[in-house]
Amino acid sequence: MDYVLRVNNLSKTFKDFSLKNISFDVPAGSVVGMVGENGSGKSTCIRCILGQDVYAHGSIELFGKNARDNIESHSRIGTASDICPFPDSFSARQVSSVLNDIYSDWDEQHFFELLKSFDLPPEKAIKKMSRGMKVKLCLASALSHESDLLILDEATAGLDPVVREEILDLLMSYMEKESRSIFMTSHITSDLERIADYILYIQNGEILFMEEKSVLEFSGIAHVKADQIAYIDPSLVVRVRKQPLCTDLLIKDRREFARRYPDYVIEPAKIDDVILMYSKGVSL
Amino acid sequence: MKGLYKKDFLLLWQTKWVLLIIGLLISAGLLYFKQASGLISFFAIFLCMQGVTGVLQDRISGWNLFQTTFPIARSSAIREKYNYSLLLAAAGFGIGFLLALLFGKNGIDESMQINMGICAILVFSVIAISVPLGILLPKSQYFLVMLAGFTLPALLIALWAKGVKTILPAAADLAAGAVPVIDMNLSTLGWMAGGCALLFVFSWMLAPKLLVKRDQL
Repeated sequence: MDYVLRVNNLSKTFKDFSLKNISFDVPAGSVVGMVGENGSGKSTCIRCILGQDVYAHGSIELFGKNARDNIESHSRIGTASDICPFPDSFSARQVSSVLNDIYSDWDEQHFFELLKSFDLPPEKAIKKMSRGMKVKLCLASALSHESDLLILDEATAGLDPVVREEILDLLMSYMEKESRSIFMTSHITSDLERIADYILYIQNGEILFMEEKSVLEFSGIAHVKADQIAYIDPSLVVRVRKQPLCTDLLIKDRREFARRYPDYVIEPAKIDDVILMYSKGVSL
Repeated sequence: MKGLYKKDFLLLWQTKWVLLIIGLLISAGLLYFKQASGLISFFAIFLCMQGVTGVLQDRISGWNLFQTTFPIARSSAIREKYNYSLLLAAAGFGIGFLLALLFGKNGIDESMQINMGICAILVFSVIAISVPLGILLPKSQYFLVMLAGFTLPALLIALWAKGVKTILPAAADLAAGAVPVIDMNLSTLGWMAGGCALLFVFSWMLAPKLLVKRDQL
């Protein structure tokens, strides 16, 4: 399998927080969604990938080459975050004019087509744009230089559902080309449920799991009484969380569980449920 | 790299009227007080500061983080700020020099030489100190960046001014009508300007290499 991004044993220490030997890959042609609480290390991870933070240990490969030594690989990356980085006084046309001189394969025509599809006036000053318009502008700039990897840091945060929907549609059409990939962080797990192929959960600077979404879709939450746990095959149970009235079990394969324990209550797990079980639960 | 310069020049262009009005007002003041040569150092440092404060503008907008996503090395992006500030200072020097020649009426006199020296001390040391500190220090401490940037040139200029002395002619010559001569200590000023130019070169070469070893604030 080809990987567009490989993070190996990445460590970065601050005064009160550290990334602890995190490793993960973004396979070519896939969407990897990173979720985690505020301050869990998502943005630090992205900052390290983009060379904004200097990491102590580990390595980061972009398109098969060390990211630190190959700044040229950045020409294949498009980024957007919850902050619009362009000067407020600029218009979209001026942004295009600047980026045209930064990226050798800047596609001005495509940029203006995207602006048109977003109803973004090219001459409007960024300071007069709404938050949704700014995010669209950032995405348009990220998508107009033949990037093969989109890195999005909370890009859809704070947007209304209509704009989020438009952006997700845009990301899905971006993924129609097989070689393209997206690595994104988001608090909105419903967005990730829609477009992500892999879900990566980070907590306190550690990756608790990275799983294919299709695998997570098989998982379930079983609600059992304390005395029933002893009868359950531990190999089916991923996490256990004690509740006041019952115990919740995160089950890897809910169909298998339902077949073997037809009298027990089990329901499909959403990404939020899985995250909650990893965050608050314990191993059996 | 061209795009980084373009962005900075576009931002500068958007403030052209404000810059023009300030430039006209200060020029009028200097000419009124018959200090045409002061236009050289004024325009040079005035435009140079537009480049230096660009570091802060980039940090406020988040552009400094965004530019790390470009296929441009962080060290090159830092040097762009040095080059851009120096370019603006050179343009300011050119404008000031022409205006001083136009309104000064004495050609390149001692007063102009002094202002050229002061201009060099200010421009080179402010860029050499303020650009790296502006990148290194938190946004909230930006006043320290300016303070540190102007402390060295202020000290140097004060030191030079201390060396300016009046040489009295001998009593017999004085009686014969000779006038006292003021030694403007131009050689010291020249050495100081040269030292500041060297400081700029060292800062340009070393600071980006050191700054890229730290997290981008």
